[in-house]
Amino acid sequence: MINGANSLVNPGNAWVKLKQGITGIFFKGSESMIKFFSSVKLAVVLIASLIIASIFATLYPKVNVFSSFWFRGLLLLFTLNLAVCTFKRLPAVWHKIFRKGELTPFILANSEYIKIEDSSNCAEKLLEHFKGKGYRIQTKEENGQLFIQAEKGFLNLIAPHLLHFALIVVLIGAFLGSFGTKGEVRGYVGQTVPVSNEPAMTVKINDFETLYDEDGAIDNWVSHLTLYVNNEEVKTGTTRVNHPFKYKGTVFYQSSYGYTHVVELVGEYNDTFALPDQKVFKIGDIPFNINQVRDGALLKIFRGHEIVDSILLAPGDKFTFPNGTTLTYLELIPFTILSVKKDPGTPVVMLGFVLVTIASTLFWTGRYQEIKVILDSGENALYYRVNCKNKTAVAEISNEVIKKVKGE
Amino acid sequence: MESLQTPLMLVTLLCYVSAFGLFIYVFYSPREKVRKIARGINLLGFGLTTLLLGIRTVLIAGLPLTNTYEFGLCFAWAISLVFIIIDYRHNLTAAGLFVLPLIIGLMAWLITLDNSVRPLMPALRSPWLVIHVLTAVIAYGAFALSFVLAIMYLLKEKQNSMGTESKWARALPSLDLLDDLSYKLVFVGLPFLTIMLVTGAVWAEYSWGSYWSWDPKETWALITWFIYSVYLHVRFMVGWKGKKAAYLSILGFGAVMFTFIGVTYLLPGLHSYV
Repeated sequence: MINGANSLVNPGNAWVKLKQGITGIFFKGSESMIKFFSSVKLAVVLIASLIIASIFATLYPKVNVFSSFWFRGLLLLFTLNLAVCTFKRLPAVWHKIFRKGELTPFILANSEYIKIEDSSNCAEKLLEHFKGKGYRIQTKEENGQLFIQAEKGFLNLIAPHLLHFALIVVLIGAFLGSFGTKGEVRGYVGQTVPVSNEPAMTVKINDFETLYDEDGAIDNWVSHLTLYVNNEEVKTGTTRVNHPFKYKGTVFYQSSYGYTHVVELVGEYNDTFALPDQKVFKIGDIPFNINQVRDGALLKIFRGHEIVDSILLAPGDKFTFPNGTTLTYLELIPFTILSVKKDPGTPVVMLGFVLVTIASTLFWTGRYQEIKVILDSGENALYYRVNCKNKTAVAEISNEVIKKVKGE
Repeated sequence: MESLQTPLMLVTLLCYVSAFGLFIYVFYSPREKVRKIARGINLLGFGLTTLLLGIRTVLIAGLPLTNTYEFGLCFAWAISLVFIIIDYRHNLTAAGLFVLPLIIGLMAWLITLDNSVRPLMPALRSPWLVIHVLTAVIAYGAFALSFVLAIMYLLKEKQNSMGTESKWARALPSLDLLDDLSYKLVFVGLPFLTIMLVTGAVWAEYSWGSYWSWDPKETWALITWFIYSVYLHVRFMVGWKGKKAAYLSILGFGAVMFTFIGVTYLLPGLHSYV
């Protein structure tokens, strides 16, 4: 009753309590969520799951794993895990790197201890030593104690966080990629053909050629194109393996190619035919095919599987079969097949890759080192501690400090 | 010059086998003179592997990084180099007992492969090839030695736990050194593996029209990357060192070898040339 009266008398107080309660629950909830998502255990479990799923997928390629809902769910959890880990640690790293102003005195628990004779001389020597070694130095004098903090290797400190951030960028880019489209362009030289995934686009195939190097080996395949958007010419260029044709985010890749040989037959058949390259036909009981080689169209005559005759044909050349049928070679019409991709995520992924590479190289810069020193002029003592993940470096730095202090 | 390759490989193999034999001898009766000879023959093997790569470079008029044979040769070269460096810096001759069987096995397998010179397919005619494969060679070389040191760690640890003062326990360096070196090699190798994956993906975007295709080779390279990432995370964040770290290093190298050899023979995909 009294409580009820109280809340009636002071409704504002109850509201504040309720608000605090809700915020508390929410805060506690979000706090435990952050704790959950930032745990290394979760990262290890997620990575282990991704490893098992990937192994399974490569062993059973017919099972659709990588585009499955659960695999994408795993990737989403992994991204969240990475994001929470990165952004949770960011303020501390930021503070460490851009720390400005006066040094806050610190306590060195379990530190090393050296007895000194002259503290001011010792401080001078140490500071000079740290400066010479390229450390960033901060000092603070208080109650007869000089606090020194020397740090270097900040790039190395950034490396894992930048790498995590870069991976998030790659994963976001990959997610954006799911809004992209894939298509195809296929046509003969001279034709204007549609782009299957871009209704407004058409491509005129101006030419197709196979390039050879000086040893006669195939160097590349090139399609010469003109791109039209809503029937307006927008770009002319080439696409070849490793050098795709690009227009405003739509990329055309040289995917496949082929040849058709146009011939006229007089005798057994009296017509003009378009013969696919290398496909075997028969005139009478003689099998033959035409194969486009570097020097031109090669007519091959077979007996069984054995080639009994081969003749290089130029347009206008004739060949007469044993049954009297004459083949006149008219022209070669190459065709090309291009795969087309429009992926809004690719530039993001590429940015992520650049960041991944930068982060990876930062791992090879010198390890982050932090040396904390307290020079106590009253006790004539020096306390110090070296923080570095490289054990050898810790021992080396400690030795250097001792040498400097003892004047060796 | 093409026909020189197989005989030269046999001589190289012979060098490594002799060095291995001498390392075993030194292990049982430590004599400084024999140790020096073993090191010298091993160095000769490394020199001949370098010569083989040089010949190949002249033959194909480019860096020998374009097929399984060439990559395997580079891999053997990298393992040999990392071993020589580590032995020079830390006097780790005992590692030869474990590294050399790896190199010998690799060389013996490479002899069976076709080493004739074939023209490079258009997709491989790209500047990305060099950086993509070279980073893989460095990473794999580092991981191979990390694996060897992990095995040595486990052996020594087992001997220590049994409390017996055996030859193994005396010949192998301290557990701390083995653990630290094994970890450092992972730390050096992983950024190279990362760059290998990234450059491969960028190249695939230009060449195949997709930066990631879940091709078995790239999937297994990613699995390898995941394993070594876990290695570093549990080491730094959870404090996994020693035995647990050694097991992870062995697992990681298992993935490396499966990516290189297992995938090539068992799981065909877009990476048909390596």
